[in-house]
Amino acid sequence: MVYRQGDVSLHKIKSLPKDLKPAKDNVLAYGEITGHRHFLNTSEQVVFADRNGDKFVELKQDVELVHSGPDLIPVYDVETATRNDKHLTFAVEKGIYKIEYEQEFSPFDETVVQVTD
Amino acid sequence: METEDIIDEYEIVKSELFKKLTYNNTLNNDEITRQIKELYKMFEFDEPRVIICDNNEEFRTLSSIHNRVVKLNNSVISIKNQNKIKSKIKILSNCFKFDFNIIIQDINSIDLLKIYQSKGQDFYELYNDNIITNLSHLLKVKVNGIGAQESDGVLDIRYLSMKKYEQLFNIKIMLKDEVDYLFNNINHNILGERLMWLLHYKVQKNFLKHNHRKNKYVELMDKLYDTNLFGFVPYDDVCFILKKPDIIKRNELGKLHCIDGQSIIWNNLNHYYLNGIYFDNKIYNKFINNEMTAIDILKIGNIEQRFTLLKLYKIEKLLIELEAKLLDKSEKGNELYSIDTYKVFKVNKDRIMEGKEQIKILKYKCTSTGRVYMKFVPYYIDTADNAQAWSHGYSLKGYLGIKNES
Repeated sequence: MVYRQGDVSLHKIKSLPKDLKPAKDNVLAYGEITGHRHFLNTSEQVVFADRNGDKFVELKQDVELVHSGPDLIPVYDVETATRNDKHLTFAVEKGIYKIEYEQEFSPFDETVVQVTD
Repeated sequence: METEDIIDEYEIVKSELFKKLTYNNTLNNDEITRQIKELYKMFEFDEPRVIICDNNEEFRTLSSIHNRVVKLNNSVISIKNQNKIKSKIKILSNCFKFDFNIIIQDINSIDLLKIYQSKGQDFYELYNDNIITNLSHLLKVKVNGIGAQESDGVLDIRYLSMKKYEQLFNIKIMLKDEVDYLFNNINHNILGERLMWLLHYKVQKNFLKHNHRKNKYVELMDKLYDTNLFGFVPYDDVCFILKKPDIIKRNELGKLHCIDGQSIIWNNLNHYYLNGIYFDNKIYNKFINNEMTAIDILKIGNIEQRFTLLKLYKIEKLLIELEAKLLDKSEKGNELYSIDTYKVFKVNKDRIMEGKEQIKILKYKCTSTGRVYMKFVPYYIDTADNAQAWSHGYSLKGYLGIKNES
């Protein structure tokens, strides 16, 4: 089972890998320029990370995946915070997921890089 | 439901805010100071110091220093325009009734963090999750900030905001439903005094209306809002004011935008925006002066900046310029194009390695926002859906069977 919200996708897996640590929050991705972020809307810590920084999610119940505005924006840039070009919120079913990020290929240096927004 | 159809009260609030942001501010500093002092007096506050900031950088720095002054005393911070700001630091010292010695040079988050670290702190007042993440990465240390407080999980910044607002408005707003309401409906920062007016407006219109009571803080905020100042950070003892920029240019949607110069000019501080997206001087000028080729645009690392330039450049024009050939088009709206590698790299055909003769580009539409993006995919990709599946780490079957996509 796969869910996708913008440049983030959740892929259902059978079990969590070993040696995971709780992530610092439930945010799955941040937008560098836009300041937007994708997060799981629960007060429980449900996002975990391995040594490489790969993220996993364990949901014991359905949780909304939200795409929200930036936390801190320049006062003059109110439209960035209030603009309506956000991805829609939807519920992710309980289960265990691996987080994957949108990637693209660069033919100029032949590398695969994570898409940033 | 289409994004365009989601027109709710929030949109109305937004349009009202934009109107507020397009006023003509002709007040001079003396007049602003007089008005602010009068307002404080009207609500029986002590006369505040009024610190009028010339640009956003100064405004943010000074109001942050105000919050952190005890922790940052005797610290070295840096900021541009050192001389200009010195006199204001002096005023701040007077406000706090002790001299604090901050050398202002060129503030950035790393410097700020180092200051905290030098004082043995393991928790930092950095509100922006993004900054915290970047700092953690750059410094290879775990950075705990308000936006990253583990125990509060995703509610962290909102939770702290709620606490501040409880205090400020003398109300209890931690009931779960109410927090959920705010959490789900405001959708922007509700912390940071610099944005207090924005939340205040929303809170008062939508949240406090059933719970309205006489509160001099609320009323002061209301009056400050009505002054049409560009930004304000009111404290009991000092009120920081941000004047309107000398120039601020927006597009018809109200987003910061200008195709012949800066969108915002505040004395020495200039910002370039196109359709609400920030660009540095170099990329902006190259694009505006028509010195950017289609390939240059596609090489831009940030996809929002790339999208913005693609839109202005016109995607069809770009495809023609690249002599792109449509290879495949899927029901999901993905289009896979190829362009000749030797043309992109401007080399002889026979110098191109086998299997790399055609660079592949995927054109696709965001299912939520309807925006059209383009990205490169590996040489071996042969269908549009395969390209999108590869980009998101799916198998083709997985991509075609996505449970929910937005």
